[in-house]
Amino acid sequence: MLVAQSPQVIISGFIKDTESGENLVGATLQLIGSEQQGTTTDNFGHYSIPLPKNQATRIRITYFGFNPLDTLILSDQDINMDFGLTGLQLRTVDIMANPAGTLKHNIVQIPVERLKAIPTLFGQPDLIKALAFVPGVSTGTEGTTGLYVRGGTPDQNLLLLDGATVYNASHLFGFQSVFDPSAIKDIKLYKGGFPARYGGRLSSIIDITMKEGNNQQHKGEVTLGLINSSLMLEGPLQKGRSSYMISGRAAYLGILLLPTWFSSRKNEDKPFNTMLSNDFNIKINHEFGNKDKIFGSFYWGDDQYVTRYKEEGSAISTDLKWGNRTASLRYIHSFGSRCFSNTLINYTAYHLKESYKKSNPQQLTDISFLRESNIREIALKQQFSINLKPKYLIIAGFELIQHEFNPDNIAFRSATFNLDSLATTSQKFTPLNTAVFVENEWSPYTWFTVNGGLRASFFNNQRSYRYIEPRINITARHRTTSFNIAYSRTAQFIHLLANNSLGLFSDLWVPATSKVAPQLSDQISGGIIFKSTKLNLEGSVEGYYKKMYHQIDYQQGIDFFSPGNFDWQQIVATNGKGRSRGIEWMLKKETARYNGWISYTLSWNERQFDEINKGVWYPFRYDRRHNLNITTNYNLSQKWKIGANFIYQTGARITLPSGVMQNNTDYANYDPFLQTNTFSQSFYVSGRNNQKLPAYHRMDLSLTKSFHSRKKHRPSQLSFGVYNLYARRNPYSISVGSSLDPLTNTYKFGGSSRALFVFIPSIAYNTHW
Amino acid sequence: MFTTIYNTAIAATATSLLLIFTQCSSNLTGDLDIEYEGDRITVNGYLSPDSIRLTVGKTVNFYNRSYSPEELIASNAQVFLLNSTGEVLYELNSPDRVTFSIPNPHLIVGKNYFVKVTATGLTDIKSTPILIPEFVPLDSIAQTLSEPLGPNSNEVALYFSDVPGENYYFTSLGVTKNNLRRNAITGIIDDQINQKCYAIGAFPDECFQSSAATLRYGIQKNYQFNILYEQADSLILRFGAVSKELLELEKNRPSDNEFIEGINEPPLTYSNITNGYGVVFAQNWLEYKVPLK
Repeated sequence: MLVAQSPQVIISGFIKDTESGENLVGATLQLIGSEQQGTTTDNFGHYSIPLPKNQATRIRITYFGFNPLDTLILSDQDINMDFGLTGLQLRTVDIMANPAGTLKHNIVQIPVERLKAIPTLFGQPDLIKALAFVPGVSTGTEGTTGLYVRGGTPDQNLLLLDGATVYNASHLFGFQSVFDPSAIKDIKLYKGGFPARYGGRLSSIIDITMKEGNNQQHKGEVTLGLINSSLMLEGPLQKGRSSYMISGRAAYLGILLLPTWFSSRKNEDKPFNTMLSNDFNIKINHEFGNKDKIFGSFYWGDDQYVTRYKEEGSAISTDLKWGNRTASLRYIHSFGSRCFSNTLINYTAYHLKESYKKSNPQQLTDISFLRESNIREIALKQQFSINLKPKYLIIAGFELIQHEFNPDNIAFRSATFNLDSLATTSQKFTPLNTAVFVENEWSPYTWFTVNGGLRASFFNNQRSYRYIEPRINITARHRTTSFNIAYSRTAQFIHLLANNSLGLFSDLWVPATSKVAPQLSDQISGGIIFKSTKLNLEGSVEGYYKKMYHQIDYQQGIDFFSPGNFDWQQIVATNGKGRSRGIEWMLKKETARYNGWISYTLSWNERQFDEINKGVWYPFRYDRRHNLNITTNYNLSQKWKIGANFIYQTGARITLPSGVMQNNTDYANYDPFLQTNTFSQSFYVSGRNNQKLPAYHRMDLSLTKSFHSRKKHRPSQLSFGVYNLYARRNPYSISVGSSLDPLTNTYKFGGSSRALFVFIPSIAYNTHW
Repeated sequence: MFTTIYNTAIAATATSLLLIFTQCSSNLTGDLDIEYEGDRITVNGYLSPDSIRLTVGKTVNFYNRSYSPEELIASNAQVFLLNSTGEVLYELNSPDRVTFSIPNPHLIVGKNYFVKVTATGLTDIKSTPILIPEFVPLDSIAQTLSEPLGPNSNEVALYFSDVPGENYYFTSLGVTKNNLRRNAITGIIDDQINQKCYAIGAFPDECFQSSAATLRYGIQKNYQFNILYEQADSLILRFGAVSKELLELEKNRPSDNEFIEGINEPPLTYSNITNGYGVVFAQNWLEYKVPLK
């Protein structure tokens, strides 16, 4: 297999959409005649590829939804070359599967247009939820956006929006993610084998890039959905040089519930509810010649849920608000064809505020509870990509992140319990997180690549933590098959203290402190990706083993709303361990009329804490042994398209009573005053997450009609969908209770579950101009 | 154009709301299939130098079936007390197949004992080693009227000497009216003890920093009897040393909200029994009676 290598030169540049001028992320460049040589563009649409010197080389450039471009390149020196691709009007040719040289292990990069086609709840495309259909990724509670990647938890996913961290990606109690599909250009998920340039999370990186905006002409997009609608506008600020993109999305549940507000103003006994959510995305960019570009992007999103009602003479009100803000300023510069610089300054803020009030003047009841949690951070990131030699790429840089955590400010007031005011303000933490990294990508042969890297990270908060995080990724290719093995150590300096039952209300982001150490993980993964150009098939098998250290969880039996439990550091179990392992299979087919994939994951996922479950390993709540996903799209004609999903997951784990036994407190009669010397019984619980819920499965369908409005160049789509077609009652919440058995006149205990979304039809309309 | 969009949005949302609310409101699936691990022997109770009292039974699957209390009785149960080397010292007697005891077993302070139980058709169970604690008497009891604690309230201070080593203490308080016993309405009024020890009936050694230890209680004299509230006449308190198993049992007492999702983390049932469930602890306490002011 050893082949004498001729002298080579570096060709680099950008791949663009000729119509909009936007750079294309993830476009593929392949040397024709060599299935092993190729590359893909990065997050900025930039590529770099070594070619033989003084030798005419034919290259094919492809991207989903665009006509392939073949070009011949002959050069005796390194050069910059930009290419433009034109969009397909009619898909009459089959899409070529990725060449082996561009097959990526541990990374999922699916074009946004394809993710948008996956049928989802309420017919609203959701890029985060769509990622749950890839192997190694599972979901938590029905309908929510939290992703569990290779046994990790949602806080272990680094969500980056144009490089800025997004802490809470949930809208509407998690039923929708905050990322407006009409404003998103690309989404990339790393499950393992993390490059050294990424850090700060254990389980995955979800790198999301906003649209830059069309720099050729003004365009727009309107989407009308069942729960919200969005508007996106884009266009040139200076044709061919700079552009803008602005989008807004709002849920209109709150507008429709306005009459309840008016009626409650007139009559205090009338209940009032409202739920608001909105997102705004803005991005502008400018090109200073071929070598310099600057991007500015901004995101603003909020949720608010308010209820006011009367119960047994008491006026009760709850108010829950949360939201994210991000702002990024990025400057990229090419130093010739061999060096590329990327400088990013960003700001992130996340806030959560919940309040509860209950008052009854007649009963002298007056209780109020207020809880606030805030995070802010400002970051500077610098990265250089240097092609030292055609076969040797170095990526190096540093990160400085100044955090500010205000995890838990609480005010509790109760006239009933003679507590005039019990206010606790948890300590404000302002840790500095720094990291330096270097990656070396070495391709001594066309069939063999090693990407080795080191990341050194430092965190100062009450105590200094320093970690060296080695990363290595080895890939070998043979014809149309690619083999890979990867190892990565990652450190995470923040924790999400999450209630094992519900999400959000008791979820707190907290930093590592002298008492709570940073999370660490070691992951080893390996696998094979193979493709058949003849059959337009691509398949993969990947395995992983991951160990996690310094995990935290609430202690057993903690009551989240007890006044004594307001200091988060006092109620957590620390130094927990986690281990997960699994095998992931995926088979993907892509033709002009049909695309879709089947994925299956077999996995195990466990946790161990000295203070929990008597120190014995126990299954993690989302220890889903089997996870099968099928998603398909078929073009019935040029106008009609049908899509379907099927998902099957082993049921989640939950702690429930195991059975009943003699009461272990009163019948022992050690307390002489209980006076209950009877044969009483009580529940007993044998272990944490001792019960497995029924399997989760459902099928979704969608039917889309594409048409042009009366005015030309205004393509529109009308989509109909059904979520959970066969009305499977997947458990959303569980309770244990008793009911009287009329036959025996005895009480019968049972577990019951409540399903949330059972056969939800939807309709959505989308138009562009 | 905007009218059309607005009308479409309103119609779509109204439809969705209707669907959401009808779907969310009443979807109890009823029978949830919950696995049961099989019947296990249970044993609860205490060992003390001069008495042993244990109750024996078995676990029962209660999901989706009616069961009678009789099902909790373990057939042909036999209970043995073993010394630290595993030698059987006594087989306990039972008048009713449920309670097992033995008079004056003369257990030795500072020694470990085990309890073993066998029953027909069930796996044998054995406790972890249980240490008989040293007796710790109350040095004195001080009692005062304390109106700030509420009407008809007494403040009672228990003074004792915390003996060297790792010790666990237990208090249980009640009141009497004409020799009828009832639980007292009490509360520890020592903030430090409250914060460190969660005001449970059993206290770990670290609750008491010095050898001269104090426990202060506020006690209301209100005594509920036949719905009417009357004034209790005496305080009954039990105080002494216990083994750590009772402390763990008290710390892990299930709360009312135990299985309400989102309110708290469900605690495991504490047990010091291998292959079964229950808590067997050791105690060395005395009961005191004090007239209330």
